[in-house]
Amino acid sequence: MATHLEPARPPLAVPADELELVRRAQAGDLAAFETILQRYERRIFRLAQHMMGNAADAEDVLQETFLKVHSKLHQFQHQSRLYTWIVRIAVNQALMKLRQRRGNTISLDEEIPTEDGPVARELADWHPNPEQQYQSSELASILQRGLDSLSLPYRLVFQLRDVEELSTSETAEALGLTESAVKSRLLRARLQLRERLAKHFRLKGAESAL
Amino acid sequence: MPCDDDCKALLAQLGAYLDGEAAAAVVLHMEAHVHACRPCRCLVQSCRQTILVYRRQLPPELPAALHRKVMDRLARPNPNA
Repeated sequence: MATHLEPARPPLAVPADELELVRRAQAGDLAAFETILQRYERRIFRLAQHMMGNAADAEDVLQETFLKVHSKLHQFQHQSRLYTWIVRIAVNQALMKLRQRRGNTISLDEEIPTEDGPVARELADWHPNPEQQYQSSELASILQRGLDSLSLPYRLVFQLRDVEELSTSETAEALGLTESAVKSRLLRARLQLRERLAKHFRLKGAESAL
Repeated sequence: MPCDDDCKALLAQLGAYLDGEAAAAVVLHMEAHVHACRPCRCLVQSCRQTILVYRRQLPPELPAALHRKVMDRLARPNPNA
C-alpha cells in the first residue's frame, strides 16, 4: 500500500522564461514586471490572507510586497527561485503589519515546546474525497477555520510547505528557520490540522479516542 | 497513541514518510506496520488527506482592481528618482 504523498500537481517549477522576464524587469520594463505580478499575485494574496486573517490587510500586504519586489529587484541574483524570494518579502511585510497591530510580540523563531502531546488514536477512515462532501464555499470555510486555529509559526510552515509547495530548505530560508525546525513544526501542524478536520471528513459511523 | 514501539517509530518518521523522504528500508518497515495497525493506517491516511485537501484548493481570485492598484502605484513618477 503506497501511503506516502503523491503530488496533486507537479511542484511549482521555475518557468522557462523567468530569467528573461527578470532581466527585462530589472531593466525597467513594466510589462515584464506585470507578467511576474500576474504569475504570483494570487498565491501571495492567499499567503497574506492566511497570515493576516482578513482581506483588507492582505490587500495592503500584497501591494507593499510587490512595490518592494519592484524596488529591490535589481538585487535579485537568482540564488533562489524568484517565487521564494517574493514569499520571503511577503512574509516580512505581513509580520511588520502584524507587529504594528499587536505590538512587537510576534516572533517566528520563538522556542516552541517539543514534547510530544497525545496524538488522537484515530480508528476512522476519512471520506476519500472531501470535495464531494461539501460545497466549495463550505469546504473553503472549514479549511480556513482549521488553518486559523494553528498558531502563526505552525500555520506559516504548513502554508509554505504543504500549500505553496516550497521545499524544506526554501521554507527554512523564507522564514529564517533551520530545516530541522521546519520539519518538526510541519509534523505538528499536520497532526493538529488533522485532528481539527477529522470531525468534518470522518466517514459516518467511524470513531476515535485519545 | 503511540501504543507500542512500532507506532512510536512510525510517528517519529511520519513527516519523512509522507514526503517520500524516508529511506527505503524504513518505508518497507512502516508499510508493513501500517498494514497491520489500523490506528496507524488511519493516522497516515488522514494526514495525507489533510495535506491533499489543502493542496487541491485553488488560490482565491484577487479582489477587483487590486492588480491595477499595484500597477498604478508603480507607474507613478518616483519623486526620489
